[in-house]
Amino acid sequence: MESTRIIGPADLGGGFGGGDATQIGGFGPGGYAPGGFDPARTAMGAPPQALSLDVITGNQYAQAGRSASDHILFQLNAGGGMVGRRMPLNLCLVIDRSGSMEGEPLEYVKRACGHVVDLLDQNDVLSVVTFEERVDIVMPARRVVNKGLVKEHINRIQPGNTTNIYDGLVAGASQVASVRSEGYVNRVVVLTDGEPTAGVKDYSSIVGAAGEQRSRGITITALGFGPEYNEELLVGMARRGGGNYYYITRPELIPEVFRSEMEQLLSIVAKNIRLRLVLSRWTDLRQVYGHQPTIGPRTVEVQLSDLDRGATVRILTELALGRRPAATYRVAKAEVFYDDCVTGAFNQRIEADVVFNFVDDAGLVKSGVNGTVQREIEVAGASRNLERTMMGLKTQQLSTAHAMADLQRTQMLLQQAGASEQAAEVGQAIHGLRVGSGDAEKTLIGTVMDLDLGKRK
Amino acid sequence: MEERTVVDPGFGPAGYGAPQSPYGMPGGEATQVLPGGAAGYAQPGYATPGYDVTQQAVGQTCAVCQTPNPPMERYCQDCGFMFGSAANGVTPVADPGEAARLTDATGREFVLESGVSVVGRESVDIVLMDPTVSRRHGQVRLEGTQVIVEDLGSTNGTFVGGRQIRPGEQGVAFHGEIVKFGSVQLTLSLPGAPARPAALPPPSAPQPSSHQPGERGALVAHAVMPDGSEFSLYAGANSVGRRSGNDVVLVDAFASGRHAEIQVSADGQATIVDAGSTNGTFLNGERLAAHAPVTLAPGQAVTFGKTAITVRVAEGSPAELPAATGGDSGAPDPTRALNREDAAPSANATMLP
Repeated sequence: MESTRIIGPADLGGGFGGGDATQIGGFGPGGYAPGGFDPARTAMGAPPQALSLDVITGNQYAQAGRSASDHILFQLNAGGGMVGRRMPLNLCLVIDRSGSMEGEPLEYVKRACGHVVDLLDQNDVLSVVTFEERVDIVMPARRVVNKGLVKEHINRIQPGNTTNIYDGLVAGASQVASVRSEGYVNRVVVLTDGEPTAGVKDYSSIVGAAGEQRSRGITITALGFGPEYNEELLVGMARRGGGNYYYITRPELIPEVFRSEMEQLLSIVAKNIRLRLVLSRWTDLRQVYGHQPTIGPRTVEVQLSDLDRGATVRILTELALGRRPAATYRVAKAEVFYDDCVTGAFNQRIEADVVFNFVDDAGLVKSGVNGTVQREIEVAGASRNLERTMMGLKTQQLSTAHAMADLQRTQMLLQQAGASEQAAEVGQAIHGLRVGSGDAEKTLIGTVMDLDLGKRK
Repeated sequence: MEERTVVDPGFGPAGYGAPQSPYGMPGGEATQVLPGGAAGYAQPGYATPGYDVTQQAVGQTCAVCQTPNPPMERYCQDCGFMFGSAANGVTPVADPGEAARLTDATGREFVLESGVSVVGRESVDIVLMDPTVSRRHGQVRLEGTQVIVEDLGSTNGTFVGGRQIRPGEQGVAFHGEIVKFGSVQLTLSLPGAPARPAALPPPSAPQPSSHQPGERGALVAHAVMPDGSEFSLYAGANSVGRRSGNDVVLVDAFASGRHAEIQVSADGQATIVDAGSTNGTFLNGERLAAHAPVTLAPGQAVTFGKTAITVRVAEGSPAELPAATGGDSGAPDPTRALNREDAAPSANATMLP
């Protein structure tokens, strides 16, 4: 990697220009505007960028005088070494308290919520909503000042009957919305262990509600617990909601998953991230892998998930390149817009060029193939393989033995392509098939989501 | 150098036009980053205060696409040409307006290359992200100035100027016509090529009499449905499917909208072609491969989805009765007559052998 990054462990405090005092002092009643994030104030100075963008072309050369298509990998990196203030959280925990959660699961959930409270500080806003047939606002959105009191509220949660995910989601989102501001990382975390059995139950309404929240700047994470929940629904909510999906196999793992979600939330460095390509003449988009792009004349736009410190997201695209005479061309310009959660500077922009050298020498073109991009194409193929295997299992057109063989092949492919975390998940699914636990799909669907969204650790 | 990163610091003009690192350029051409050195760019320039004098702010016309660009640009804002990067100069590229292309409703253009471009939703030449487009939906073949559209067994059909192109058919599309894949409408531009000749009636033109002999083929056989009712089969291709526009309409949830085709020769010999149906076409319990014609023995039943049909040669078919009228035998069912009208415009299509 010869990438140069304009990110340094620079002194971030300077960008705030004396905002420290307000940050600590501004706890007036109802005053939810966190002091340090007044966009008008933070624009001064030259803060380093939270994100950097690498553009890797599938080949640095293209044949002059001929049309071709090539893959381009956009790699968005969130700075790893940054120290600075984090943006406060505006979090709602939406907990399923249906009958099936009774006992151990609910006790672990309470414990997990307690950990969440411990991780927050008094700049953060927390609300807790439970759902069964009806929805209860256990704790309306408020700053985490008296942690003991918050935990008391949580410990009073009792199991109920059915599962009304939709109303729970909407109630949770409206708690977040009641104090929503650009100065917060706004997130709803929904935990459920079952199919929706009350209220609005259809997939598209629930997933649509998640997408709607995202467009308001509130992201949704979906946690599925146990064997009964609907993994397609939860992945749909997380994908459209711009958050994460977790599959929790055993109740004692609930606190662990909450912790890992919190860890990520507390280290988000950029949100509202959009990648926009401005295509030059004679360049056309063929596809953006794993994303649904918004296409305009000569522009392509993709919305991306929030990025936590040190994370990388990869977006693989394929462009059709029209005939050009031998020379160097910028076939597209890539722009990334985002809100910087460390400096509090909104609508930041970085850009990079997608450049190809159109040459007459076919040998050069052959020699210019980029291995990183090739691997990424293989990973995209692996994601499709997993989908096919899942479909085969679901429709029972694929025997368990065949599915396992397919998965082993895909696992190897992922391993070779360097997606070791995903390879491990596939391994988990293979194990699930072997012991007949029936949870392979719940694992794999999350793997496909992460692969499609280009999340890689 | 495989990878490059250019991060726009985004503040102030400090980075603007300043010499940048050489930039993945082969052969050291990178030194000529800024305009002014290349022949043909000698335009009156003025020095910008505060910049190096060699960086003259001159307007520049792109040598490749002829677009005028503001001064200090590194790349042509239109075609992306890096100024000065062509070692031996370039010949301007012909106006791209001359390229054959398909344009969608948003103005997005798909330039057609000579030969076949496959259209679909995934990993094809022309990717249309629309739920009504099949993964491999159809294909467009550019031969000289002629464009031939084919359907590859899509679910929602391929249309040229409003007329459906069935799998295995070849529909010629003319300049300015709308080619539709599923519900995605693309306008074909074939600069220099003629529009649809007047001699070929536009596909949407009404067709007053649909059963003229020679136009559609004569009535040669009947498809006998499980309930004993019959559909007329004409010499040539007869479409079978659930949708009302088919020649043989199946009332069967297992049948695809467009399921298969029964091709009947003049002597009543029937051949079955599955059109890529979801639930299959079966002969003797065996599923037929899609798009592979299979001959039907006389009296043999063929099953589309769950509906079994036999083909009966019409009495008085051209075999016995030369110069057949081609009209429906007996009193035609009015709804079926309507269906026939729907199907009839296929005669308007420009068919290639």
